[in-house]
Amino acid sequence: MRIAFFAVLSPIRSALADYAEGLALAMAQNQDVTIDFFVNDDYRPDNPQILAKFKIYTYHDFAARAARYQSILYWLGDHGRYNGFMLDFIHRYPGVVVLHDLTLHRCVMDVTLNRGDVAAYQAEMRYAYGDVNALEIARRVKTGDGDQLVLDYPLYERVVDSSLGLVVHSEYGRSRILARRPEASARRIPHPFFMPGQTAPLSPESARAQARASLGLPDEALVVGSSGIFVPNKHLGDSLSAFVHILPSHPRSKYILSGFAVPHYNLAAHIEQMGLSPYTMITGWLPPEPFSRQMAAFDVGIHLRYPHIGGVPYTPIRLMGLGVCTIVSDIEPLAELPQGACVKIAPDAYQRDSLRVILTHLADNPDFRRQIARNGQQLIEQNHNLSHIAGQYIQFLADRRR
Amino acid sequence: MADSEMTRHLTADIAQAGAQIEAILQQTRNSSPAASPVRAAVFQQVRHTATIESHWHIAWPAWPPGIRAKIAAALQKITRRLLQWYIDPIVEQQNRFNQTVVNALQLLADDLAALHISGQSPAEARQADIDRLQGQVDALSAQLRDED
Repeated sequence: MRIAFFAVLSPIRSALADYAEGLALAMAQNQDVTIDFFVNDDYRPDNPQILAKFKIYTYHDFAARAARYQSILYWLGDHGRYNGFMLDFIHRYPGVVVLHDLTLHRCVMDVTLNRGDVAAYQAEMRYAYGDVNALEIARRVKTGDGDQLVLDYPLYERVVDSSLGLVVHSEYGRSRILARRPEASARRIPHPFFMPGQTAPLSPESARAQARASLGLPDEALVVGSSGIFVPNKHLGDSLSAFVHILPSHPRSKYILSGFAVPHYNLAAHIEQMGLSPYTMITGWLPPEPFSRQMAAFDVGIHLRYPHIGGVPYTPIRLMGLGVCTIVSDIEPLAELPQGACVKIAPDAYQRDSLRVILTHLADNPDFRRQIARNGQQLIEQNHNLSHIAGQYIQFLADRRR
Repeated sequence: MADSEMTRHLTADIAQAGAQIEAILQQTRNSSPAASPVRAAVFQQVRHTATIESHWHIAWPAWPPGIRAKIAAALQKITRRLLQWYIDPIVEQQNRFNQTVVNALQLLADDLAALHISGQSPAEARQADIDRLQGQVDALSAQLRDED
């Protein structure tokens, strides 16, 4: 089967690029599968493994080559600059769409309104929701009042209608789509666990030792960490406040912030205000390989997220797969992860207190912490195995071929 | 070990750890005044009302039916736009103040909750803080000596 894979690739700073590459490499292990990538024309992919293994074209080349492919896989998120180029192709060349977020509202806004095409945005809104005040909705989304609105008006309806099949990563996602489009062929395929650039799996102990050595952290230090792009809805204030409470009993603890904060969110100043500068390290952006390896240094990984836009965050899967005791928000997209394989904290008024108590308990009880880490790792091995997941994608693409 | 047996073991281990976590979380909710339903409800209300909008919704989410109502709504929108320069800065100022108050309340509530959990009086809490800091200084001094 010859597959055209529309995706973002490295060096784009997006988690979607990271796991598009991991999945494609695993799918390509199948002798019957050939994958060609189609990417946006404003960057040059630079992952040597991907360059060596696949042919990469810009989307301009697709029309001339379209007839060669039995399947088209669209790897779609709600970031207009990265993913907006795919929308037109999805309608002209139907294929299987992987919806990483349960909304495409901002993506559609980017390729219509933000390029001055007001009528196209209004037409999309009318197609999906009939006679609503589209421009007022857009204004509210733009002025930061949008997290609920983009879920209420997800604007994926035309994409769903045009697609031969849809992949989402949670039952929650599947049920949301089927509630709006009952006739859609939507399948849940979980995220695969993999480590970029790693050819042979490492034991959690070796991975931890290597990661700590690279960060200059002693083996006995208690290390708490958060990874990714830091935005206010990751509640780092509460995580740091919980961390403060473990310092008296674990004075050599460190909080590693592996990633970078978005503009207008002055995380470094917040840390300084809390007097935590000597105990924290913000790494800044890192390429996927060192970024994911670094997570193995953590004793406890915290990945809170609320409000969310429906997608299953990948970081908890990777943390758990690495054998790190992981704390997440108890949100619908993570319903498949059971309490006990990780720690789930409800995103309510009790969050701050719950986090403080649970982090203290995990810090003081290393055996309990290790048990949760072990549970999490085994669960990920069982349900998020890379070759099994790659097989599920290939099967679904074959079922829904053009 | 067969796959199904491994799955059974894993399910049992997860359930056991999950029950422990739930018990800890439940206890936190029940025992901490910081997490009392009243405090939670009050804070939710305070947060909810902390941000005010600079205008009322007009023709939202859909335009009203009828041409007269549409014209009235359009005129209201124009009036709102004309007054925007005057209203927006005041609203921004008010929102900044509200947010500062919410943060201050949160800090006070956290301090009170911490005191309640530890069962200490303020004087005892201060002494405990001093002891904790002294402990940290001792640990850091020892670390420095080791490195020398």
